[in-house]
Amino acid sequence: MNQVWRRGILYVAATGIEGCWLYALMALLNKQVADEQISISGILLLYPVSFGLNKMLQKLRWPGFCLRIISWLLWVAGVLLIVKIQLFGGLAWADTTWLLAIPRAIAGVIYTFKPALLILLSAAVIWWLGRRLAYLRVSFATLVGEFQFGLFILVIILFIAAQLKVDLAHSVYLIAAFFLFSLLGISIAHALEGTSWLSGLYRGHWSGLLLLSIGLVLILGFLISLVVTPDLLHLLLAGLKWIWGLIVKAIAFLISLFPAPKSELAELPPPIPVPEIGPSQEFKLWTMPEVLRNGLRLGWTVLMASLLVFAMWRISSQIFKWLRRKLASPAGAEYEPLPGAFRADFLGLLKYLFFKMLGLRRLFQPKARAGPLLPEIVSVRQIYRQLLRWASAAGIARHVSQTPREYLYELAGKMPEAEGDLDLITQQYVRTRYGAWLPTEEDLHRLRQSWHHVKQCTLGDRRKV
Amino acid sequence: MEERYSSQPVGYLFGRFGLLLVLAGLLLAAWYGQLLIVIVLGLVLSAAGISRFWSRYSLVGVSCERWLSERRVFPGEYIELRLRLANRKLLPLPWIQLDDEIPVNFTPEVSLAPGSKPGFGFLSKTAALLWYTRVSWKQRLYGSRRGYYALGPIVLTSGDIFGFYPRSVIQPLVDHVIVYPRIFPIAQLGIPPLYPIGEATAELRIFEDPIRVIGVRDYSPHDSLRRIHWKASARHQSLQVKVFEPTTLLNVAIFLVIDSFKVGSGEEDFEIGISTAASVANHLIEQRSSVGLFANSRLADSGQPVEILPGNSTGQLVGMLESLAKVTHEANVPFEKFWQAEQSRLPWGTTLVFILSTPLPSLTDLLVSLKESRHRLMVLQVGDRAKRGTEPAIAWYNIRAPGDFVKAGGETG
Repeated sequence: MNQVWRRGILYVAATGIEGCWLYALMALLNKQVADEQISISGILLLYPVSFGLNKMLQKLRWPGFCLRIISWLLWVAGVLLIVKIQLFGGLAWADTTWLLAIPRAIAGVIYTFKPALLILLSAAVIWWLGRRLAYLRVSFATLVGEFQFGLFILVIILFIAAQLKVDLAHSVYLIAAFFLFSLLGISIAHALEGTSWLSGLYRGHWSGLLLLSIGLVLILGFLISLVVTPDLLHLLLAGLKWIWGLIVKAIAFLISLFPAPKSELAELPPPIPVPEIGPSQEFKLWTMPEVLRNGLRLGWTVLMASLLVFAMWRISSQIFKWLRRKLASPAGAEYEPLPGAFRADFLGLLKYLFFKMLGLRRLFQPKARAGPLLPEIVSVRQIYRQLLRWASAAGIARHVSQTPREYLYELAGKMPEAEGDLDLITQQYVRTRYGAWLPTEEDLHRLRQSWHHVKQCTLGDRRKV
Repeated sequence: MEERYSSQPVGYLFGRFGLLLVLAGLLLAAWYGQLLIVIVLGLVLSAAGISRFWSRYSLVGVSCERWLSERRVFPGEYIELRLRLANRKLLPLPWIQLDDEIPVNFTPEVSLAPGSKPGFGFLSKTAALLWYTRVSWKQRLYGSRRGYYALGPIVLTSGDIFGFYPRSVIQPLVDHVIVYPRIFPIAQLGIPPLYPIGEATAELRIFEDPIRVIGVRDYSPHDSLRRIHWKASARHQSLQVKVFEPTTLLNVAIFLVIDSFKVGSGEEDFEIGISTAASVANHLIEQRSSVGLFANSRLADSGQPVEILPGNSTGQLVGMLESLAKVTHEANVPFEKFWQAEQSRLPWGTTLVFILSTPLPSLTDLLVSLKESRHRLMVLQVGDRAKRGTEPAIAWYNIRAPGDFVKAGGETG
C-alpha cells in the first residue's frame, strides 16, 4: 500500500461523506420541487468531474484568476449538458429551447421553481465542493470536520423530510454509507499522521480489525435504533410513573403513622381517590415488545456470525504467521510476543473467579495480590533472596527496617569492588518487586553474572579487617 | 510522582456536551417515531461508545521501560538507550506514541520535538501493538557536554482506532546520566609549590608513614579504612583517622570559586575551570596524593555545595568527578563565607589550589592573608589574562584554553 494510494482513499472518503448528504438533500428537493424529473446520480457525477478537472488545472501553474475562470466556464458547460440530457432529451441539439431553459427558469422564479433552476443551483454547489476538495489537503482534522458537518446536515434533511412526509429512497443505506466512509476515512487519516498500524507490521490484522470495528459500530447503532422505540419509551415512562406511585404511597403511609393534629375546627379532608390498576396493565409491564424481541434475535444472530468470522480470521492469521515474521521491522522497531503472559493472566483470572465463586478468596489470600508471578520475576527475587542469605551468613543481615537501597549502601561499604554488581541486583529486584518491569533474557544473564561475581568476593575476610 | 492520565476528545461532537445533545435528540426522535434520525444518532452514540471504551482501556496493562548501557560517561562517549513498550492485554493498540524527554544535545543527529524544560526535547517513537506483544527501539545517545542529566519522564499516548479519544499517561520513569568533565593531561604542569619544601620529588615521596602520626581527626567516607585509629575511635565513640606528619603526606584541597565566574557570558571559562579542577585532581590521585574538592556551587541534584575532604581511596576520584559533573553556575554561598566554614575541616598543612576566573578584591585579600599565614597555595586563573591578580608572592597560573594547560608549567606568577 503506497502513499499515493492511501491519500487516494482519503479523497474517496471525503467525496463519499459529502456525496451522501448531497444525495439526501437532492433527493428531498427533487421530490418537492422537480417532481422527481431529475436524475440525482447524473448531477452527482459532476462532483468527481469537478474534482478531476480542477486537479488537472492545478498542475498548469497558471494564475489563480485564470484557473478560476476556466473552472467556472467548465461548470457552465456541464450545467447546460445536464439540462439538455435530463430535461430536453428528446429535443434536437440544434433547437435552442434548452439553452434558454435556465434564463427562463430564473425569470419565473417568483411564480414557480422549475427543475432547470434546481439543476443550476445543485450543480453550482457540487462543482464548488469538487473544486474545494481538489485544493484541499485531506487530513484527520479535515475529515472529522466533514463528518460533523455532514452529520448535522443529514439530520436536518431527515427532519425536514419527516415533517414534509417525504419518503427518501434508500435512506438507511445512505446513512450506513455515510458512516462507513466517515469512519474509514477518519481512521486511515489518523493512521497516516503517525507511524501506526498502517505503516507497521501486521497490516492485514489491522485492516481486518478496522473493518470489524466499523461493523461493530454499525451493528450497535442499528441495534440502538431497534431498541429505542416509542413503545420502549412509553414502557419506561409507565415504569417511572409506577415507581413514582409507589414512592407517593410509601410517603403517604409514613405520614399516616404520625398522629393527626387534633383540631376541632378543621374537618378531615376527603380521601384521595387512588386509581385502580387493572391486571392487564400490570401484565403489560413485564411483556417484551415484539420489536425488542426481534432486535435481540437479530443481535444474537449477528453476534454469532461475528464470532464465527473472528474465529476464521484467527485461523487464517496463524497460517500466514511465518510470512509476517519475514517482514522487516519499520523504523528500527523490534516486535516480539510476550511468551507465557497470556497463559499467566488467564490462569490468574480463572483462579480469581474460582475463589470468588467459592467465597474462599479472603480465606486463602488475606492480602490482595496482583496475580501469579512470571518466571523472570521469580528468578530475580530468588537471586535477591540468595544474596540476603549469603550476606546474612557472613554477618551482615538485612534489618527489617532497612530498604533494599539502604541495605545496598551497607553492603557496598563492605565490598566496594562489588558495588556495581550489588547495585544491579538490587535495582533489578526493586524494579520487579515495586514496578511493572519484566526482565529480558539478557537482563537475567547479567543478573546471574553479577551474582556470580558477588559470590566470589570475600565478604567475611573484609569484616575481620 | 504518580502516573497522571489525561484524555481530550477530538471535535465538538464527541465531547460530553455534544454526546448529551445527541442522546437527547435520539430520545426525542424515538418518542416522535423518527426512525431515520434515531438510526443516525444511534450510530453516533455507538461510534462514541466503542471508541471511548477502547480508549479507556488502551493504556491498561501497558508497561514501558528504559534501559541505558551506561549511566556515567566521559564527553564524546556514546550511550545505548533502549526503550521498550509491552501491551499485556487482549485489547490491541492501533497506535501508541512514546515521548521520552531527553537533553537536546544527546541526539545531535535526531531532531526532537520541544520539551517541557529548556534544553530538553521529546524523543518520539510510535508503534501499533497487537495483544500480548512488545516492541523495543534502540537509540544512540551522545554525551557531548559535562552535566548531570535527567532522562524522562515518559509520556504514553494511545487511543481507539478512529482516533476520537486520544489518552495520555505520564510515567514517572526518570533516569540520570552523568557526563564527567573533560580531563586534560597535565604531566608537564609541574606544580612546584605543591611539593613539601625541601623534600624529594613526587616519585620519591613516602605517602604513608604510620610511625609519624601527629594527631587524629574525624573520619570521612573517603578515608581508607587502614587509617582508622581504633583506640581513638573507641574513646571518642566515633570513627577517627590518623593524621600523619605533613612532610610525609601531600594533602591537596582544590577550591573552585564559583562566584568568580560570570553567569551567562563566561560559559566556556566555567567549563574550562571545571575541567581544570578535574585534571588537577586526576593528576594528583595518579601521584597517590590525598586530594579533596570544595566548590561553593549549588549541585544539580542536591542543591548543596561540594565538600569532599582530602583522601586517596579508590572512590575518591570518581566522587570528585561526579560532583564536578553536577556543579552548576549558581553559587550556594559567597566564597569567603564558604571558606570560613571549610577551613577548620582541612588537615594541617594542606596545600590549597584555587581555581577562579575573575578575582574579586575580597578574594585577593583572602589569598594574600593565606599566603602571609604561611599556607601553601596556588591559583589557577581561567579566562582573560588582563584580569589577572597582581600578587607576586602567590603562585599564579593562567589557564586560557585546554591547550594551554600542558604548558602552564613555564608560566609563573
